[in-house]
Amino acid sequence: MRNEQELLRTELRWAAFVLLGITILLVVIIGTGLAFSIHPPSHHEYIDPKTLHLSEEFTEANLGTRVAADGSVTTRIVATQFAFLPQCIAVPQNQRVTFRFATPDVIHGILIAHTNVNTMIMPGYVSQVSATFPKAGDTIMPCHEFCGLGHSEMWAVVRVVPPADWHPDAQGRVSCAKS
Amino acid sequence: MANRDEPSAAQQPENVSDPVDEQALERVLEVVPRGAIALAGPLVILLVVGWLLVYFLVFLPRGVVG
Repeated sequence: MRNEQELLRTELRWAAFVLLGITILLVVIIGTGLAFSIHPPSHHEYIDPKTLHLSEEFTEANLGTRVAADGSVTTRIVATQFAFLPQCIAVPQNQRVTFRFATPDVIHGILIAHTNVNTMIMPGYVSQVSATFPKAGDTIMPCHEFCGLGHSEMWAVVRVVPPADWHPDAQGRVSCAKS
Repeated sequence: MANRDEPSAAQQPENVSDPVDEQALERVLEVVPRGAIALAGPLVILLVVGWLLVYFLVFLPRGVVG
């Protein structure tokens, strides 16, 4: 009997200890989430995958990085079996960049190495995610959702360009070739 | 034919594979929770500390996306 009470007391102490650990993790997640506005990229925008190449935004000539008149930087990328168009994406260092993805075929996904950029690309939707790149240089952006036999060959390069080499052309476009 | 007057030898101490002495059981039960906590306690602390290190030293420095 004495042992049973002792066991019960030990179990209650253990439950309190584990609850303390879970509370610490939740406080950290919720606290930093609210302080830095951390949340998964959630964006609801529809696009017809059958006419993607005819759409105003995702035509071939409009793909890549463009600096708008207000200075905001947007990159438009088509993910298709088994390549990203364009294959090299120039982005400015230390400036917020908005990535917009669409696909005409199957589900793809991307992540950009050494960053928290990570999103799915679904037919019928525009996936949008914004990030800042503090470090100049090349980093890899592979497809991380199995999309077919050529999936492992599907990757792009994100080239983070320092301000001194960042020269948008007259239309505000920047490509890897020019940087 | 077994002789029913002879008691079974199964309960004799030398034939019992794991004789349980009640007092010995009491002694073991007193130690069991301490042993479990000594093992699981530091491991849970290590798990939480490891998670916090990855969160603050890897996840947050990689930048906020939205």
